[in-house]
Amino acid sequence: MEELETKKYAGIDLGRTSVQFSIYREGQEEMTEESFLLSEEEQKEYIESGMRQVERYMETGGLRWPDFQAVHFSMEDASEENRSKLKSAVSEELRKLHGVKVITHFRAFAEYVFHQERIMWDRNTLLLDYHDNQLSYVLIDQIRRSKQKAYRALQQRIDLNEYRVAEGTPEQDQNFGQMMKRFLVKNPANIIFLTGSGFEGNWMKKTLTYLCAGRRVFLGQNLYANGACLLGIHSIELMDEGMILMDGPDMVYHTVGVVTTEAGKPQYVPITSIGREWYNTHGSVDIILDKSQRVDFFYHNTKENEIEGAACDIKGLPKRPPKTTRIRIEVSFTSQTEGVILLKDMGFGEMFPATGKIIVFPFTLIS
Amino acid sequence: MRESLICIGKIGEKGYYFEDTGIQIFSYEELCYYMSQHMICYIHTLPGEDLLAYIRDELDLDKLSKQLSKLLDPEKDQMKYFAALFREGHYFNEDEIRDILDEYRGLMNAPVYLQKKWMGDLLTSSGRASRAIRYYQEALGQKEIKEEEVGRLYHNMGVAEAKLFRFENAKINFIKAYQYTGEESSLFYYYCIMALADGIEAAGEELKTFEDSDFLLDAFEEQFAAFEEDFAYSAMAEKYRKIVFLDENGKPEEALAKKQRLVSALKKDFRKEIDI
Repeated sequence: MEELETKKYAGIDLGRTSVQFSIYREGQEEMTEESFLLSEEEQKEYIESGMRQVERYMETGGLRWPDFQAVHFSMEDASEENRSKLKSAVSEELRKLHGVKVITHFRAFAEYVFHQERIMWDRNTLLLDYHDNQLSYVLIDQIRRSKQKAYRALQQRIDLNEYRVAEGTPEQDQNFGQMMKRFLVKNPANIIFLTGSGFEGNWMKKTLTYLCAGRRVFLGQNLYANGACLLGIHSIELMDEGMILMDGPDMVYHTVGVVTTEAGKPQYVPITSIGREWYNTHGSVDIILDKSQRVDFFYHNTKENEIEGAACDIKGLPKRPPKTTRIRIEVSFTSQTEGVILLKDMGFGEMFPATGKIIVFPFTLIS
Repeated sequence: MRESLICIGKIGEKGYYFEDTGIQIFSYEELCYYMSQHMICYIHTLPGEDLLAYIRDELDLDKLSKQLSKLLDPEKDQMKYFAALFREGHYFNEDEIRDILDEYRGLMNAPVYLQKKWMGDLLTSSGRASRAIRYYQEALGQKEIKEEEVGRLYHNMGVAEAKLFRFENAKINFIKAYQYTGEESSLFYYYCIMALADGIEAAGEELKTFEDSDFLLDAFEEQFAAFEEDFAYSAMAEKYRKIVFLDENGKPEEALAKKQRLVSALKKDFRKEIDI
């Protein structure tokens, strides 16, 4: 019997030692999760090798990229170099159909959590990622408890040497447990996710007893791939609304916007949102120039709640009556705190034709 | 702090074509601007339902479309239709909306001959000369019209006739305008038609039959020369010079192709002028 046509979404986590591949089929409760270990030789070029594993799995399982609605990748090190390597490693078909959309592990975890039921993220949620004797954590907590709630996700690394935790030693369980006790006193969490090869093996006894006391604890290796997969279904409303501050490397925490008037009151309108990697942060808005030939931009630092402004003069356009120049503003980031704003003259239909002139306005966020 | 206006809705893939003026709009903001400049077209009837469909389908402003459809009822105050349209996206501020609606009220309360004249003027400036003439004639048929306005109507009708290359009609209208108002501008337009059709000297001679003044003739010659100079720097004149240059420099085929394109564009514009 043929499989019924259902919408499919894919998430691929390209790790240094293994590849995780998650598929979500609309209407099914659970995801299909696959994991492929990379040999030592393959680990040297883990991105290319990982993609080869995925393509091989697809071929064996009779899957094709056009079967998917969206494909997202997650990587621990989503540097420009690695993103570029991935672009070269994927097939042309995949690139054309879905693009090469990469998110960090940090974001993938947030996507995973905020795509779950409210109970999973409405109270403090913690992720512990333990591998190669290194431990990093992500803590999601509510920073505004008013009607419009806001959340902060913080990514940090814990120095295991400080707690004398070493993989494979007899004291590992004891010391790890002690460390978690101290950590959870400072950073209470109700839900804990554990991921990474460091948690494998049967060494956790005391640690697990402590972690599970009054908390829900989940252990899994496909967390990041699942998060990337869920992102394809829909974006998180709270993130679109700028209600999730992602405090970690590569994450944008400034909004870029303009001030407009609504019902006689000035109002700040953000063009870009926070909570995403700088290379995934873009925004666009069309504005109408009134009497002045300049646009004032405002940069809102959501972490410190500070605002700075910058004015962009628009020169070289033909003379037109007030309110008959439409400008398309496109904002993109070139790093976490730098970017460029393009202002394109769209004219005003047939009445005042566009010149197509583009003004480039770079910005650097100081605060 | 300078404020920007944020655009609402989408830019339409297709434009909405206003039959009266031949202008197409592609966005909510263009619609507001167009309406504010052409309220005279809507003193008797509101825009049709096809505009509401355009607002809904192309501009993606379903709520506004529904709201306006409720205000299409002829029993309702037409001002409410425009107030709802302008308030939706804050393209105009409240003071500007009040001014536009006051002006609209003024247009609706104006004497019929003035309404017809304004409509004719709008059509003339929109490249709809034939339609404009019809409105001017209807205005002239009104009983309460003032003598001074009769002259202005003839003058404007002369301009519309000239746009249709009906030079004899245009000349008659300018002379009538001059007789009613005594304004030199009508005489000057008469002089221009003569200069274009029969040459500058013949125009000068003709002028003497109305006003035998060297001073006036000098002023007209100077003004006409200024018009010619302005035209010489226009895009149209540049295109024409290019065609001549190509033709004289061994590229007759390219010149012919450009000429055909120019003539085709002129014909297209002229078709609107003669459209009734």
